[in-house]
Amino acid sequence: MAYKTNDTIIGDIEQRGIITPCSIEGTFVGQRYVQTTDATATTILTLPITTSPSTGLRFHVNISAIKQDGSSAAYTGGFATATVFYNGTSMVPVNLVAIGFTTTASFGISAAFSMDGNSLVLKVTGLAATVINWVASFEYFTIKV
Amino acid sequence: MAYKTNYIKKGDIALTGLDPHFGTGFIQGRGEVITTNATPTVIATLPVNTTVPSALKCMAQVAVFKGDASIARFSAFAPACVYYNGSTTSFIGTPSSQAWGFPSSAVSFNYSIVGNNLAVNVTGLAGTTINWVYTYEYFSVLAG
Repeated sequence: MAYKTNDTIIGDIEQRGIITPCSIEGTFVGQRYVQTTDATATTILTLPITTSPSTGLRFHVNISAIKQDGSSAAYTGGFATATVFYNGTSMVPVNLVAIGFTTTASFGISAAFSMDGNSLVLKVTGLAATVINWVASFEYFTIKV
Repeated sequence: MAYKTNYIKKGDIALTGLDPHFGTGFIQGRGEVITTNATPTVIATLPVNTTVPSALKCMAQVAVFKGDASIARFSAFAPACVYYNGSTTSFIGTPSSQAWGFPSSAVSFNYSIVGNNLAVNVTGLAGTTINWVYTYEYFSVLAG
């Protein structure tokens, strides 16, 4: 994957018992943050997916958010998952789950997966005239043909 | 069945290299414990950042093996999130409490708040040896 930058990929999980050669390249763990100030969908993560060779990707993320003034907070209740693969022609989103939040009272924020070309994109949407801090912790692994 | 007490190293892995802006890192931990009674046992105590309002999200899962090897079960990941509002720490929503088909519903793991810490607890059975292996991961987002 072309996504190894110092601020996003912060460690690999050791794998044991993998027989080489194999079609996976590891499990990657990372974290991203963003601050929103309005209700515009804002990209917190763009994950390019390799197309040569064709690659499938399994991704899951936990997101937490808090108002800058500390008055409300929220989190995704479980792993929000996305599964996509490149079929040789185009990127196919197999399953981009709807992301739900559990929040303190009156904190109507949201997040969603989408595709942008050959990249998986995660966007978060805050509130108008409200500063919100977001952190997304994620893991993913891939399989190649 | 002998339990390989040295097989899994207890401890946290703090993933480094993260710009701590808004967050406090992404930490993964695992360990094991043996219970012989029905007393809740704390397997992890995760400190909530109280320097500013914050939220801490945790996902934990356990595997259990009855000491006589007659029963084994695995839980799903159970999420919980606690929120420090500047004065007190409380749950956001209801934390997950897992009972995963172990023949006794008294065998469980759950979350609790102890001071400004999120505690992960397991509870076994009286007079029964149960081996537990657990993993968890957590991170925080900070206000300010």
